[in-house]
Amino acid sequence: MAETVTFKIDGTEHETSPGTTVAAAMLNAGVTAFRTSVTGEPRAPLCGMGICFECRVKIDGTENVRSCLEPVREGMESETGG
Amino acid sequence: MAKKRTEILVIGGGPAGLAAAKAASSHGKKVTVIDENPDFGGQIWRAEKRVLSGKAKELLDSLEKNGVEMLASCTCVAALPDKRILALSNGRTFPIAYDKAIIATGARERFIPFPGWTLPGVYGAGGLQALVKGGFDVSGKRIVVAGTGPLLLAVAAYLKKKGGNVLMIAEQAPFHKILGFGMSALRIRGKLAEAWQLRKEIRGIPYRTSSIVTEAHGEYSLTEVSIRSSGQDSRIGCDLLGVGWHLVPDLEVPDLFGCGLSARGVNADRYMRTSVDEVYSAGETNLVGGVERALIEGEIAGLSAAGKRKLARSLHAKWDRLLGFSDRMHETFLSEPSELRKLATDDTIVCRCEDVPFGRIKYFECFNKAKLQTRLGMGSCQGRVCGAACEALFEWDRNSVRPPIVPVRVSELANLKTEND
Repeated sequence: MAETVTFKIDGTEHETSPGTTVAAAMLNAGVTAFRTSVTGEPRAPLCGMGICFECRVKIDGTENVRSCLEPVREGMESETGG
Repeated sequence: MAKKRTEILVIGGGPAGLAAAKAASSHGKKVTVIDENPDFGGQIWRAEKRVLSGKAKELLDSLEKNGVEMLASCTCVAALPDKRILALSNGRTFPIAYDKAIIATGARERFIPFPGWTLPGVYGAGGLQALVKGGFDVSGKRIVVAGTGPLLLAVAAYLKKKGGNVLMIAEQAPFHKILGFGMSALRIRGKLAEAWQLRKEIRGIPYRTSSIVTEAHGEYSLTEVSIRSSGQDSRIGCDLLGVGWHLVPDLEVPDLFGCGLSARGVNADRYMRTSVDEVYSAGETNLVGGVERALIEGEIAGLSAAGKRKLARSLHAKWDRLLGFSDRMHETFLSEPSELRKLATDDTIVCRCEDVPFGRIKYFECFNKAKLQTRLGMGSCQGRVCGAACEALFEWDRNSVRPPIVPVRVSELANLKTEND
């Protein structure tokens, strides 16, 4: 297994170790607002296990993916602000 | 996608589901296990960076030997007629036909709204642990762990081990209740060693009983929390807050199947049969009661579903002994929620998906009436978070579920129609 995985958050390249979830990798990269709520508040992961949907982002063009359930893959692109 | 058919379908690959799959497959049954997560083991055996060890690995190895089909990242989104479910994986749906189903969907954290709880940096207690296991680096971060339940100690110990600067554990239950719980837990073999180990690991972290987080502060993310400890208010600066109010069973799937439910979980008999023919249920889905109990219930369910009633019966004595532990846990933690009900102010958001504040729902008499008027519980999580919150805040009954229980693209549901034709 490769020692690092390269992926993008909002167009910027980042590296992380294999087995890291997208949510964890984004937190490590300093992302605080994963999505914007219906009244405009910044939101970030709450439950860490796929229940709350607060960590949802766009991954490789698919919207509303729960980033806490998704391991980072080489070349993956995630986008916040959904 | 190809249709699937199996003899025994296990929904949920945590301790109960894996134990059920092992028991049934050991008696020659064709078993399929699905789990929404990318890895098996459930929340309690969630592995660091996806590498499982110990009991979880042992069980998974035996399932592989028995030829059990394992479908990870696969969610049950609906129960279909003729003993089939609609599964969702990688955005695609497909039916799975079964002879018998075993539901082992486990439990999730209970969240209770308080001012500031929607700020980035506020997590569930178990939620924070899960994210750290997924690779979130908390070294050097100032962390407060709060809420109620035995989970808080394990979470604090884990975060400390990972280099987190755990400032405090704020436990809502009063000291005398914790003491009573601790004493009764000691009667169960293994719990003493477990408790002793935990005590060593959390040495140096202040453990405050009768303490709650009353507010989280910060502009864009968390910077401080207010804590009320035995009536005394104080504020402490921190980067992360992990706050959870014990656990509630995950009932969306059993509800889809039409299983009889009570406030504590699925109503299953001593053979883990639900009110629906050929549908069994095991583990925390039935009653939040810890991993030992989940393993036994899983085994009983697997044996029953495989037609081995006598073997299932031989486990009843052991199962009965663990029953008392759950009762004591429920008696100790979150037995006095009255103070928590006063934390939310009118503008505190209760439904995070639709941003519905406390002030807009407090005069309704039930969840459904509030839902119709305010969109409470109508967002992506479909009431999974605010449903349990409203149970705690207003004693409202659970919101009923409607399929699909997670968002599914309309085109995928249209495919289903074609398959039926």
